[in-house]
Amino acid sequence: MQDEFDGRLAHLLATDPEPEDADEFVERVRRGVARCRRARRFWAIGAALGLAAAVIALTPFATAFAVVVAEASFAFAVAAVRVVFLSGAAGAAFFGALGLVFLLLTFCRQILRAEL
Amino acid sequence: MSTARSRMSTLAEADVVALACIGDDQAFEELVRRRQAAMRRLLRQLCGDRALADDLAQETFVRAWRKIRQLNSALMFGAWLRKIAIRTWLQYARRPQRARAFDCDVYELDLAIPDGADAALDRMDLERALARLPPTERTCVVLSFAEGMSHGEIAALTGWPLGTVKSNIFRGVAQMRASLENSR
Repeated sequence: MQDEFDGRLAHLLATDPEPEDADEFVERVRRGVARCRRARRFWAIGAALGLAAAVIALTPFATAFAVVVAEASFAFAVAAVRVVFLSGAAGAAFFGALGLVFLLLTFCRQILRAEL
Repeated sequence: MSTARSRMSTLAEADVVALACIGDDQAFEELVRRRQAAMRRLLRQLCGDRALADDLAQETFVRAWRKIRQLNSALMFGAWLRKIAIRTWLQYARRPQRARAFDCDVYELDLAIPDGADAALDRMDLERALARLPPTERTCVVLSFAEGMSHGEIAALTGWPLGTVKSNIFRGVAQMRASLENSR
């Protein structure tokens, strides 16, 4: 009974009549494919335009950022040079002052020794 | 155009598939021509509605056109296309408001039955019983009985566990039998 029903079911499903309007359906698929191709082209153009727009929109920001970085780098370099020079000058002044003190002390010592 | 079509119709399917894979539109059209009947019939059995089946079949072929470069072997084209068709149907059936059994009154209008033909009446009863099944059970029953797929193949194709496939077929057939007995 079970097998008979299964066999009948399989037979009826397998012998289901085929649709007749093949040409119409092929034409319908052709239109679907053409629509899909247009959509694909549209997205490709859209993506390219979007990328170009993003590049154009971001260029001033990128330029400004580059300038800020360059300026900051320049300012840093100037500051570094200034520090070097200032420290050099300070060092020179310090050692010069120290030298003068020694010179003065030596001179004073000579005077005192001469008086003694 | 017609010369190209007649030339295509003489080629073996593997050759036509190979041409379609490299972007030949005539070859793809020939594949649609050769496979459309089987796909539309399968989808009609799965969804129970002729117009919807044609929509799903169109979607299947458009998806196939989009992905045909990914096809590994030209000899597997039929199975590959059937897989796309079934997945298209399952995606459609997963949408809750559409995954209901079709209204039998509407379904009856869609059938063309010759007068006094017992086979046609049998078919009408059968299609009506099939249309009453939930989509998952209907899918398993159709793939098993109409497409002759094994339970394992159905499980692999749908991603459902083997036990679920078996119970869907068992429940579906029992429900159809009860439905057919009630209609007599």
